Amino acid sequence: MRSFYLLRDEKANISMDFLTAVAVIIIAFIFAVSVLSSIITPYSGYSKELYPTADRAVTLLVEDEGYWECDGGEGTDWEFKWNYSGNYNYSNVTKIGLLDSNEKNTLDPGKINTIMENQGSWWEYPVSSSSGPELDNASRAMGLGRYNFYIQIRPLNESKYNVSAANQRATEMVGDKGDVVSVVRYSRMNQLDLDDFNGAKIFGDQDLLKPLFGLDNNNFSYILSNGGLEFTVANISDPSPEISNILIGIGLNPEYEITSSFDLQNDEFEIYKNDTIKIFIPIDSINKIENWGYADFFYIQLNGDDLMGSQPGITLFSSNSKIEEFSLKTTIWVW
Amino acid sequence: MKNTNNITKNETAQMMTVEAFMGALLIITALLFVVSQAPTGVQQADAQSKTQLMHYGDDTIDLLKNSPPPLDQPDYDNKLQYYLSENKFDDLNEFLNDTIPDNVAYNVEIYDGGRYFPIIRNGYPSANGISFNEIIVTKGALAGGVGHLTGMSIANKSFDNGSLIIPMDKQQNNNITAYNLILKISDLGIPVYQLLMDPRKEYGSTLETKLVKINTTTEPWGDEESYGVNDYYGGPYVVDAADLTPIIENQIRDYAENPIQVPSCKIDKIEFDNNMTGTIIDMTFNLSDGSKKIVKISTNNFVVTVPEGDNDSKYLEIDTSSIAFDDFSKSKIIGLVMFNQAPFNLTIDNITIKSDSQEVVNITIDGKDYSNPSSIIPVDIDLLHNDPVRKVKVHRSVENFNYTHTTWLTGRPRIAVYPKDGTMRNYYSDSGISYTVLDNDRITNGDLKNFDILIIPHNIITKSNMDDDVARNVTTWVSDGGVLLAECASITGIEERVEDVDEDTHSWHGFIGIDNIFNTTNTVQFIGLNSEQHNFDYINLSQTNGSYLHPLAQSYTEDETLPGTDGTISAFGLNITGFNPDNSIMAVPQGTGDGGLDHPKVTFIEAPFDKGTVIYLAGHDQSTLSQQRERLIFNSILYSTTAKVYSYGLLEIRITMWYK
Repeated sequence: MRSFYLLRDEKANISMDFLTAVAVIIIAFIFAVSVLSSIITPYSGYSKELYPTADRAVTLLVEDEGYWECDGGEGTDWEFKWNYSGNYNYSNVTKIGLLDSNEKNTLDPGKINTIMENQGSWWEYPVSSSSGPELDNASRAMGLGRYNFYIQIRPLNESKYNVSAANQRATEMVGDKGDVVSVVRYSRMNQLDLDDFNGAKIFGDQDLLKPLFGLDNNNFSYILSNGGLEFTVANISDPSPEISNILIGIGLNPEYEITSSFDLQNDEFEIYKNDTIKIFIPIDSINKIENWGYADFFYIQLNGDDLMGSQPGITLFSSNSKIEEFSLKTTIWVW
Repeated sequence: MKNTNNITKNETAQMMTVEAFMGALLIITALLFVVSQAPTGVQQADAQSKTQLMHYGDDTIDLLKNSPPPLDQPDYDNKLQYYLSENKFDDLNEFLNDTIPDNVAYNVEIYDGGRYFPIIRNGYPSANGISFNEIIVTKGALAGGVGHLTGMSIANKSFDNGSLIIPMDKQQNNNITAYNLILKISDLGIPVYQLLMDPRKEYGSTLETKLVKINTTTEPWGDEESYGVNDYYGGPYVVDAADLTPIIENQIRDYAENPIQVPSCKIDKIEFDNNMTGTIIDMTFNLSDGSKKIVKISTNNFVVTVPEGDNDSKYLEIDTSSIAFDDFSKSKIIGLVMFNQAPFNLTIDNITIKSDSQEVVNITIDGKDYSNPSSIIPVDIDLLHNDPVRKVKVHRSVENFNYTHTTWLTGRPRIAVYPKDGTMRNYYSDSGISYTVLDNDRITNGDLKNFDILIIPHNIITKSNMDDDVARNVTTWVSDGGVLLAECASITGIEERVEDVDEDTHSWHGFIGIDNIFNTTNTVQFIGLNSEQHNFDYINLSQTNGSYLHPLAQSYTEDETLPGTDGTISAFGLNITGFNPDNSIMAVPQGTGDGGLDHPKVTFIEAPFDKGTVIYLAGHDQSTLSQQRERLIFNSILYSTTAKVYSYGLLEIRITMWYK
């Protein structure tokens, strides 16, 4: 047995050995706690849930059409409810999904542009301008609740967008946030690409005085994608036609005139003229027509001098459009 | 125990501090060790990574299936179908490379219902020391329909130094027994590749496809170092050195050096001066040792009896099971095969042939004519015991090489013959490749599903011997992916029966649309051989130059043509107004005029029928006159299990992925 023999004048002193041993044990304990803490952290409740949460959210985005419901009904075309007719009905959207209801493995550009910010062939969400209520509802409808997240959608073909700008934004938004998980999914997207109308072959009303244009329901995502409807009419017989007013609506009479029309004021559309005319009708103007998203067609009729149709009928946007198809990469970061 | 820690004056704390530091050092070391062994965030990433890999695989296949085909290929539904159908595996690899992140490696395989066929290889996960992060994604993929050479997998393939080559030209002792070796190797579970050649030597063929030059040694099993560049024609088969093990090599050597017993001698035909129907033929084979063998043949139904008594040769075996008439006038008899069962050589001095009334005018044995006015025909034929030329020659490459038109066997073909074996007996005698005879009952019982190819040798097929149930079973089986080979008179019979049960399903007559049959003695040549055939426009076919780089057309011919068979049916014609449009004509009769190209005559044709394939070959007995002609039978047999990555409507594509 080990014995200590205290010498004279050493009563109540703390042994140097004792102090050293205690200090060593305390240091070792603190070190062990700090290390074990860092080991255990990834398995703690919050971090452990990150990946499944991110995976589920991005899977919903690319594999689901989304869903809305309220007292008035339900459906998957939540893009018309999110910000429709100037009313923000975020709470009616219970699930945000970007899948095109008509195509497999293909995202709907209208849905993408409804929720995400178009940065020129690539999209992101949220951005600095995303409002608090919108972001809260988006988090909820994506199943991300209490988590922070950032989503980017890019073309797989890197020549189609500014890669460095997209990378820079991802770095700024995610940066060094500690525990961050990311999940990547691939999808397709079909985007409507409008060509110019030929002014010599424009259809119109029975009297051939009011050219009439029609966009079918399948292509309504074009309006959502582009924040409105922009089109150009070239080869006009009179290079400087005067357009006194523009009517928009969702119904026609047998004379090919818009019924229940909405007469746009001058500040509700834009016309650029040179040897052609280019017309832009913002979505805010279109949203003034109640439930336009559920109509079979959206019509535009031009009234003015020297505007002539070639024969009675509708100038369909689908007649001068083509579909551009490309692959997309959707990445979600969650922390 | 003596205490040595007694502290004396002026020694307080000295030793204890050192111990404390040592203890602390131990504790910290232990902690560091524990930390180093503890799982870090990487382990969590592992589970995540596998999910991410699954997404990469799933999504990439979906992208391929939803991407439009190239603008100049509008007939395809999507990019994946185009890549698979046109063998554009480099393009597929480029697509995957552009889509999948750089830190992910992948292999791609196609499953055609029989076996996985690797089309893109980037190593293996284990080669990177990581095996736990491998994932496999398998999905269905539509393929086929509009590709060139539809039905076959033909790709560029590299072979390692030391690969075994089975020549299929004049270098080979016996082309037919070589097929047996090929099937046996296939049974070992390793792929057997075939380098597809263009049998047209002078016309149309390019140097790259009419032969392949490989630096090889002809002594593959020894240590001999002699080697040189050899020219290989006729579609040689290759076993890649990468698939060889010492055990497999020894097995192949044993197979090659101890081949099956093939006939010692074949009587190609016996010609009489008149119709032989209803006669009795007495044949006596007199041997040099004084013994003899006697057979008596009744030509009514070709019943053969071997009388007792003077018939005392116990070593000479005469196989008469495939004896038949070989012409419309029924004056030529074929199908007699001789085997030497003695442990030594035998010699036949002469053959006596007597019949009731007709006289023999000529007998052809092993391609040699013996004409004699007498019924006693001196032949002096040696039947060798353990003939060294029976061994199958195998060469070994002494360099790496690759070939652009390579196909491969997915397994050993399972062969059915209907309704009786007939000339199939001759093919069996020559090759040792076995088969199963199916009668009507077995076919209606669904036995066809157990076979890859159905061979119908010469037979007069009518509704009375092939009823609607049988015809419907055969038609359905072919439609579902079976391969049918019909010869001689069976061709028109099977066409009629199929038409009866399938009249509303396909716009053409029967399987292919055969209009009529011809008896011609013209030799056969592969289409596109000469300038007259280049357009073949009298029936306006799309295959203007023939399908020469086709497994069925592999045949080395010294004079650039195949011999005719002098058979009952030596050619047949396509119905110009209605035939299977996807046909691949392999061979036509040579020459012009009534017997040749002035008429729409075909001697060898293949056409897809839904998922299956139908092959028609004119001529009664392909084993007569030339091994090159008989090869067409075995080409057809092996074709039934040749890799077909896009002939079926639905394939599976499998991507294996792992992190680099």
